[in-house]
Amino acid sequence: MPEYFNTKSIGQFLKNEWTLLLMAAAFLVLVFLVIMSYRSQSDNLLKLAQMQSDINQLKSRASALQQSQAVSVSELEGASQVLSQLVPDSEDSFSIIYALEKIASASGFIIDSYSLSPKLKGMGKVTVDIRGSGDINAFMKFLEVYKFAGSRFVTSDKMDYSGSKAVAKTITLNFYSDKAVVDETNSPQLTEKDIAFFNEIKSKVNIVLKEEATQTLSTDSLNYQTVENPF
Amino acid sequence: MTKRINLFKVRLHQDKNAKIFQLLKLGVTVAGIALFAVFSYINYRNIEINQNIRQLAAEKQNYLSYLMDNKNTEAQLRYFKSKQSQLLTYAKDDAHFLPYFKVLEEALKPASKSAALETVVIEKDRETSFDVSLADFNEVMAFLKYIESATFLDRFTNLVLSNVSLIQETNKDDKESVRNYKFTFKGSFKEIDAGIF
Repeated sequence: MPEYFNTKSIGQFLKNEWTLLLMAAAFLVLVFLVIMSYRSQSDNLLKLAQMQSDINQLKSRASALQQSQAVSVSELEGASQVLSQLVPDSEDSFSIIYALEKIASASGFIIDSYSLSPKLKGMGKVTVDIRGSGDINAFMKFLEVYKFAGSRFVTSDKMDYSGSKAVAKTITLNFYSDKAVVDETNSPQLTEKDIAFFNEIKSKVNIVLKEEATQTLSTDSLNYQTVENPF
Repeated sequence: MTKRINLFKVRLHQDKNAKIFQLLKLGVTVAGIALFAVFSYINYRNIEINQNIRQLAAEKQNYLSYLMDNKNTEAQLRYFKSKQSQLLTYAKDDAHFLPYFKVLEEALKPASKSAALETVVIEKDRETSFDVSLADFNEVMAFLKYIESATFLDRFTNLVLSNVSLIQETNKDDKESVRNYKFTFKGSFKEIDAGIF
């Protein structure tokens, strides 16, 4: 051990260089503060970025809503009601039978037979092969109206019609049901195209929308005579 | 024996240390100043960022309250869009028979008296086969002339007259025999733009 590294020399050092020690301590505190501030800044920057992204999402949702104000809520509710009847959330055979009856009565083309499973449940596509009779005019009317006349959306991918016998041996009709998939992250916007789309459907479909029975309380019924003293 | 102490040796050592400490002090001071500048800048930025966060929080609150007020409209809009998308997807399954059927109907017009579409089969991929029956020879000629015209043939990507048959039927009332011509065609239609629905 060198002779200058003893208690006396340490004491001497502390006495002479206490400023250096103080500066070193202050420097270490400063380093610690810088690290803490840097961490805090990083956290804040993350928070800011998250906030910015949230706001962008909310902004686009709000702006989509503002641009969709051309249609009132009640109109939109009506449109949704119509679409949910055309493509219901779940399937039931009665709705298909009713739709076939409506298509037949709207076109004048008589649907003679079809087969349908009574245990029809769930969602998806239901294919019904029908046989029917009617002259060529009724058949053409059927081809014109089958998609919407039954208050259900129907497509057809095969037809076999005999004009001489005025019968359709087979017409394949597809009925659809599916739950609405609501995408929360997306900001739907109602455009002119959507309004035109709905108007086109509305012109083809004949659905009577249920209106909520609103019971209004007449103000006259409240204007009865009152007395201060009940006795 | 005389003991000697070299006082200069310690002094020299102390001078050397003092120089190092002086340099160290200078270094710590410079680094401290630089670090303080960095610390100040970080804090200044932190204040700025916090201000931005506060502003954005207020903005977010505004948007949220607007969306809460219009919650019902937005829900209806999402539902409408979802059902619309389903409808547009399912519409692609449809074969749009009517315009194709009309093409065949048009073909019978030049021979309208006795011409009849016996059978018509149209598939989703527009493959078709149809039988046309005609009773009069002149009408047969008019019909053949029309179906060989570009107006009619342009509606098909391919069309083949697969069978011609002559059926002799006896009329029950006047017991006269009636000749019936039956033409069977097979082919596929060109796509007709019938819109979405």
